[in-house]
Amino acid sequence: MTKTLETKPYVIESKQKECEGIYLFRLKTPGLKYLPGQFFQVWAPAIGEAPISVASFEDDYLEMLIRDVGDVTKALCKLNKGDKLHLRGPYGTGYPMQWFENNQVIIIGGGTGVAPVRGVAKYVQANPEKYKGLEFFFGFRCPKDILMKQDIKEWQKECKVNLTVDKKEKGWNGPVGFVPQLLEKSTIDNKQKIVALCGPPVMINKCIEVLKTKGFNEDQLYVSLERHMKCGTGKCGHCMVQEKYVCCDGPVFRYDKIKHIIDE
Amino acid sequence: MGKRLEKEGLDKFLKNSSKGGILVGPVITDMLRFQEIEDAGEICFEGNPTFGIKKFFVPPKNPILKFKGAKLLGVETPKKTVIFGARLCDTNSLLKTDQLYLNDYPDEDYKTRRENTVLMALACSESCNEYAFCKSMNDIGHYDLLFVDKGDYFYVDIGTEKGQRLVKNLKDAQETLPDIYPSTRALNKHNIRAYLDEKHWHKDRQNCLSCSRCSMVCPNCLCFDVTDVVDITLKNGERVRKWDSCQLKNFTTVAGGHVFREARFNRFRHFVFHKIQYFAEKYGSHMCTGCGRCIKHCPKTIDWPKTINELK
Repeated sequence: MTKTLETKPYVIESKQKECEGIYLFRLKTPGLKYLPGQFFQVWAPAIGEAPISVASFEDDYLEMLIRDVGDVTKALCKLNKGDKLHLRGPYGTGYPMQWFENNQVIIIGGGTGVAPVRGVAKYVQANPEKYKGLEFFFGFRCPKDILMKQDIKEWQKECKVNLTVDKKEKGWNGPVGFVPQLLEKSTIDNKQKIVALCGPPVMINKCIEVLKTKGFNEDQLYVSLERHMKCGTGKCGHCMVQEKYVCCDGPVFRYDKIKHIIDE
Repeated sequence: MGKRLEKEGLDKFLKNSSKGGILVGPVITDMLRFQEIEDAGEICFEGNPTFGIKKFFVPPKNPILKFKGAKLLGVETPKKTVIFGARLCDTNSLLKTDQLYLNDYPDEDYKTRRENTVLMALACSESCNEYAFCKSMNDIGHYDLLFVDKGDYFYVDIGTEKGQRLVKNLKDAQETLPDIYPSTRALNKHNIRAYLDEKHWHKDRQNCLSCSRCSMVCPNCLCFDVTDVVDITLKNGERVRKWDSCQLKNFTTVAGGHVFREARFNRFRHFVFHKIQYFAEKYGSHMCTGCGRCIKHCPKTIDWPKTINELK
């Protein structure tokens, strides 16, 4: 059997419900090396595989945010502590964290798109001396959909976390609107900054427009693209965006390298 | 130097070459198709089958592994196969498939199939359809052996060591290899990066039905879907790669239902540009051998190479 098709089982250390239908799985993964922004093909035996991105950065542990949206992820979300997740990977490029050094890292995420960029934040937190801190811009549909609440609380102690929701609900006193509007109102400039973005395409495009008006250069922006990779090895064609294979050439791209294809 | 094989000796030659394996050739059943044959008498020497030989290397439904519960097992290795009568458009297409399947993350199943297969190509004396443009695709001609029809006999050109071993008992030919491509029309632009815009493709765009026939008959189209197919236990089964097409709307659907290449034009453009632009940018050759099948079998006969030739 082709080596690249082999999966390895990892024990679920904990499973936390983030909101309705979205769970954060923590796996014990001794010796497994990965980078934030990379992804794994996760197998639900007898159902199929789904590409899930890494949401953490930690030796011997791996966290993944899984939403029960398709056949595979529905089966995965039924698993509990002590069960096993079958992974093959990691695949893809990941965020080039070394290139981010000596910069403040601006993290922009929308909905479940916060998962890959959470890994970036965790990496920066694990190597604080190399970076000039973090700032977050997160957007969710409504207050009850806010993900990573625990982390947000932690991050708020050390840095600025800008949070917005599309729809207001009782008990919400924060901003209402989309992430680009939140960015527009902020006072960030482009000095010694790198931006890591992940979220719906509309959000990414609008955010980039705003960031440009704030003086950001295109090579300061790193985007993680979402596609449904079936093989992860640059063959099946499902993740092709023009000449790029998101699974191998990405999923993380520097914006100036893909701006000509992003709207395809 | 080439070899000479009398036509009456073909059957014996093919039987000897395929000992211990299977022999495949173009035969007329409900249509002209490649399938396993017993005797050279079954072979049809005219025309080019609708479906090329890609099905022997990347089958339409290809089990790549088996699973018992969560345990993964290998699948059987395909048998030794001799393919006779494939045209150069089909054999050349394998060089492109190699790029994809043997470079990054090499695929064992494909590699075994390639190693276990002998390619005996058949040169075309004339263009097999009016849409072909194979001569202009600058492919060098990839085969183990190439058979050129010379009336009473075949001139046999040797392409590889594998082929050499099979013909060492044949007589030497007294001539040299003729032009192995038939005269066809030409694709006169090999870089179309500047023509991404919809306005250049107006006519084809309106005609395309997104039926995906083009990608099914294409010897180079390799996109596939991956699914787990279970048996009656619902626990054991196979992981199967199935041919898929970028022309179908759900090809780029992601979790939650968003479709990235939703507009029909975007899908049509991806087909053409993947063949003539994107693949060449990465691997240096086109993902097209100019066989013309995609046009011949298109329900609207969309002649995209003609459109390319007329681009200004």
